[in-house]
Amino acid sequence: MSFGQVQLEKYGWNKGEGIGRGKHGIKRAITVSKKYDLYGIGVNREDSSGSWWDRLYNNTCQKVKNESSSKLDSSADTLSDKTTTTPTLSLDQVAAYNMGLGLYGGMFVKASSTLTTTPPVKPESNDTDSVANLPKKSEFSSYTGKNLTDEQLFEICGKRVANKGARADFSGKLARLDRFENLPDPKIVQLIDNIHSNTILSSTSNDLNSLSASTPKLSKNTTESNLKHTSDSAPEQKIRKKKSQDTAESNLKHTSDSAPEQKIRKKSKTSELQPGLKDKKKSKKLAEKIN
Amino acid sequence: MSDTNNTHNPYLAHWANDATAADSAQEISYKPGSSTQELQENIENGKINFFTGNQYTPTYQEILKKRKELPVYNNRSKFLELIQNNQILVLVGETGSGKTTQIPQYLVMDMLPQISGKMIACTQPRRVAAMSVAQRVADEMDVQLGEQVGYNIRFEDCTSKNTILKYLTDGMLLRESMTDPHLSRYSAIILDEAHERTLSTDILMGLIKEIASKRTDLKIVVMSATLDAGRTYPVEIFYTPEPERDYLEAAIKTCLQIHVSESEGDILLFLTGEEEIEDACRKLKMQGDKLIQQSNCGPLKVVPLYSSLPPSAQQRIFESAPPPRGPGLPPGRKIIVSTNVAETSLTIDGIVYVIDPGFSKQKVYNPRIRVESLLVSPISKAAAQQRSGRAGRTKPGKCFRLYTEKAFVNELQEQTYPEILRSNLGMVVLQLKKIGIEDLVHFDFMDPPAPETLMRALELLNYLGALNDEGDLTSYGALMAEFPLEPQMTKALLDSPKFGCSNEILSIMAMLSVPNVFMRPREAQKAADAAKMEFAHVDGDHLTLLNVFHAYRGNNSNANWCWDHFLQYRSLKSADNVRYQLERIMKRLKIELISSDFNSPSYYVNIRLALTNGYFMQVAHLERAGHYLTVKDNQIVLLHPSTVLDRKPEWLLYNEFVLTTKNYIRNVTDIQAEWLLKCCPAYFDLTAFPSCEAKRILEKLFIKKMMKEQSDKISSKSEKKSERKSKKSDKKSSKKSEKKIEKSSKKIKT
Repeated sequence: MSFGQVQLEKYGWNKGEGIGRGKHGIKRAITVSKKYDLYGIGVNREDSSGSWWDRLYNNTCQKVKNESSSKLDSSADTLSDKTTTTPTLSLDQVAAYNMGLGLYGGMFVKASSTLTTTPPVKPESNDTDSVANLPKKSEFSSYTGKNLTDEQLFEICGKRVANKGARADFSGKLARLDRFENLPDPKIVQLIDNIHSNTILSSTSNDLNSLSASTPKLSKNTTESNLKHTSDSAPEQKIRKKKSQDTAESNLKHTSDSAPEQKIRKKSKTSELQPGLKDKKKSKKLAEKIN
Repeated sequence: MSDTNNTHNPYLAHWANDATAADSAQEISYKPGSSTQELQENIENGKINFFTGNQYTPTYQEILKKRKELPVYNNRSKFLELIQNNQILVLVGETGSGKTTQIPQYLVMDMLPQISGKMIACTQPRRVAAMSVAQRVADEMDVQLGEQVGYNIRFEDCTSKNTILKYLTDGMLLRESMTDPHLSRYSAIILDEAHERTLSTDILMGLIKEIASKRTDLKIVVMSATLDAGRTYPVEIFYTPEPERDYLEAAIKTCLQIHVSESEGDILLFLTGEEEIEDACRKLKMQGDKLIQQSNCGPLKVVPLYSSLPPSAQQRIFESAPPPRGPGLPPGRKIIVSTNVAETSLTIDGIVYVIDPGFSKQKVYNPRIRVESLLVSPISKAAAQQRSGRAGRTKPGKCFRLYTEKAFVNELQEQTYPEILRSNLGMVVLQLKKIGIEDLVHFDFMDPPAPETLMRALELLNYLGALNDEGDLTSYGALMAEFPLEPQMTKALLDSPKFGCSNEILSIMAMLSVPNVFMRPREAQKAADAAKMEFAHVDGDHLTLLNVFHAYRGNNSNANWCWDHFLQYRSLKSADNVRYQLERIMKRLKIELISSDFNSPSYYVNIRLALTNGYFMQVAHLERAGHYLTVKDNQIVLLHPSTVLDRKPEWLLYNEFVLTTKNYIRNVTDIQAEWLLKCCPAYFDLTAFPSCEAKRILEKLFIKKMMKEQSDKISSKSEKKSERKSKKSDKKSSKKSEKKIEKSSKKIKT
């Protein structure tokens, strides 16, 4: 028996008890697991180790399916708009986001109550932009990527594939470039060009890129991943830059950072999207249609 | 102990012959303990200083106006009524309500310590707070700091015989209670910031409860802060819809998003430590510059804040946000990237946005491996609320939590664990034993520590010789308690005269007690490393520190010299002060201050021996596999990259076990295994040693030692018996003894 234990037992402590007048003390020392990574609170370590790609893939496919079945618009812009929002958001919330309710492009949701001395209670379920309103997974069951055949998926993605080699032949990119050439509104073109001359590729025009981003979140384009793409997209960038020079007198906000980029993107989307989405009621109807 | 007769109290002897303070003060129309708000206000609004007899300065009048605006001002009569009718009072107020500065002054005016001869003490958990609050209150009372109002922190006593109100760290009051168990020099004790639950405040609470029952004249005020919620503006809270995979990246992104899209107001970002904060500041500056170049958003000022930052750099947090780049352009913004010091201890106005990734570095003690370390861990709900409250001091604010609301509810604990549950209790147990508390099991802890933690503390003190085998404090232990240092350090210091190097050990311990003296700026790392190698000692970091200290002294403590050699002047200056304070204690305790001959080959060996004598419980052994294993606890450790050692000695003594991405031992010195067996046979009792390589080697050494002793005996015997006997027979007998020893060693192994 150790000296320490003898000393405590001398004063009436017994093994398995706590210290203190009422023996109410903790029985075992507090332990803290070592943390060497940058995972935020709530990230499930096992889950995050390898399966993030599967989840991302499935989530993206959900969006794709949503889009194609609803036949809202086949343009890549709306499509990527869906992919860039948080994957579990319902169409309602997508609409809310488009109306400017989603904070920072869906990066945050409002707490169920503002600061009080007591911790906020769990959000009420009928609160439109709270976590609690997220649809249950089963609601999406019919849209999971697993239900698509490879051919279908290939078709929906504009014959683009997500592996590295796929970038080599540029077929998808050229197709998109063509679309940009045909875009009607020069203001939007300019906006996007401004963004892209800095970030080179972003999820707005390239859902491939959003697939390659580490998470499905809108703002997950790290500078590193952007840099990685530089060499791939060199010709594309050149063309764009030229264009932006043509429309040079821009006083528009543009940066290399994803933050303002999102804001602009949001603007451009709202102006570009169908007027039907402006109204929440109508979007609900749409959602019903889809379902 | 309600005896108030000054002459019988040795601590108040100075009051008896000193009537000047009372003489110069204004005449007082009431008896101590019977003032009212009106009476106190009359004094404050008068023209003559109540305490000095001088006329009030214009500054005093200005400050007085501000004091009257504090929320606590309107509650003075209620406070006075309560404290006059009760012995113990618990006061809860919001931060910024003025309780830390005003309540002690109300008490001073009520209890009139200049007449009763007993001071009023107000404890603070932090040294900086004790100093700055004392300065503020001295200004408010229109007196010189260190006179009527003073402070006392470790290694710095800024009080005088005139002091009637003393701000001191809770650790200092605990230390005073060792020599004055009834705190008889005080008429009132204010325990401030009790909600922080620091180790010393917790222990003081237990002690003061007992003292209060014995001293009915002692008034006790326990002050605690609430969340800032009540007095501040509303703060909107946002969560992420999903957990973040990289909270640092998310935090930076959020900063920039706020900057481009939110209205005027500064940002406070909470991160975990110096390295992470500097990293974030760099990234923010870089990305912020890009953002500014390419858009018309306002300029950014990024300011780091952590405790090891020099004060001048810390002051930068109070600078205002940069102005817009031109007329009509958006305003600039200040981003403060801080550790949790900005959570409670510092109030920064102008913060409107708070970003909270939900982590902080917290001290944790693991009694299994006897290691106290700072680990990154999730904060509590209370801490998260406190952080968000920081956004609402100037106007309605926003708090962005980089985790989900679900995680907030389910994964964060309600309250941060009090420090007593997360600390090594070696020093506290020594202090409690010195105060005379034998029964630690039934001490009135608010949150009693884990039994194992207490056991480890008792064992440490036993091995160091502070407690005998019955668990009673030895006279050596009583001596140890005099030093405000961790027990191992004190042991090395106390025994150093035996090795003829107390001067040197004193310098090394002073250097180990201050923040890192080596500067290593990112842009000049190579030059800094080269500069450090100039001081390097072949035997390790302790002697390198000694070299630095000597060089600093040798160059007249010159700040420019420090700068040129990549040394932190501030740390060295403070090491100098710490050394002076420790020297005073040594002299008081009549411990010899000596050095041995510098040119003797044993000069450095002696110093290393003296270090081993204190730190024998912190030793690592180089395994054949090439890594170090801590002795007895068998933890794999690496040499900290900061070490000056360019080789791997078989045995190392270390000052600190650092847990970061790997287990490191920092500040190491090359030692010999033989020294270990010599300095503490009880600790290195091989029968109770976990099996490991170190044990086998120590065993061999042990056997060798025994053999030598025995063969010495035998040879001396045989010499006496017959000088005629040949040397061969000598060898035979020694062989026999060898066999005997082998047998005994087998016993040890089993």
